[in-house]
Amino acid sequence: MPVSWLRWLLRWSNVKTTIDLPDTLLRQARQRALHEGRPFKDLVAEFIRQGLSQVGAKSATRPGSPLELAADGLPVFRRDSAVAPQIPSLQELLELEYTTLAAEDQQRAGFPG
Amino acid sequence: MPASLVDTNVWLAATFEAHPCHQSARQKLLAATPADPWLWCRATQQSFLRLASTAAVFRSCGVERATNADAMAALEQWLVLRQVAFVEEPPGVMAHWARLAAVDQVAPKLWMDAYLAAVAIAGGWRLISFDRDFRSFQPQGLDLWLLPPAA
Repeated sequence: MPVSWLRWLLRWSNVKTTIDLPDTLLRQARQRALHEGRPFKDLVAEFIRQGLSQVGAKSATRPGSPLELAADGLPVFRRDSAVAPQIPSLQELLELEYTTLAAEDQQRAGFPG
Repeated sequence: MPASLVDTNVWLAATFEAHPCHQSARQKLLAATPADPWLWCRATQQSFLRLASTAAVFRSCGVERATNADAMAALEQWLVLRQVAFVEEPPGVMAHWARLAAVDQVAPKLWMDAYLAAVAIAGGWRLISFDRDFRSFQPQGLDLWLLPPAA
């Protein structure tokens, strides 16, 4: 009798959750865990993490995007020194952040910025 | 579980390479762990996305063009990290927010600052920011980690 869906339990950072997976996919994942001698839950967690990281990585590698993944694994918007040779101070940037948001809010409310 | 709600200015500093506090913010973030993570809430996400894709901001940080898609991709990359998490608004925020913000002054900036402080207090989280204005909430229960302005 074909079994198209199988309910299984996944432990994820001390959280137990229930999801439905195709039978063949589940068997493949279990075989891979057996082959590598790793706990099944560790393998699934790693695959999910890889899949999630690829979502943003596609954008990070998009031509023209300032976004890159740095060597430390953190995202970064790289600097083009030709755009702003003089970087504002922290205080100036904090004020710019506030005035930018306030101006947008005023415009949205129909008041001149 | 200990955790820290992180202000938008810290996320921007960590994201923009040319930000004067870039290295400082990233070093602190790399020290976070899954057991003591750095948190996004919807309000900081909203502010980050708006500011990171605003020309006045990204050009000040030496970036020629950062689109909405670029800003969202950066946010998604932050959320992939094991030491970073998103949290929904915890119960009880409204009472804290009103207590902190509804003062008898004309102070529009206070609404957002007080909201973040209220979320941190209600969630039992520390707030991390470069903005010294948050010190005014410490006597009212805010656990504040004020990052130094220089690296």
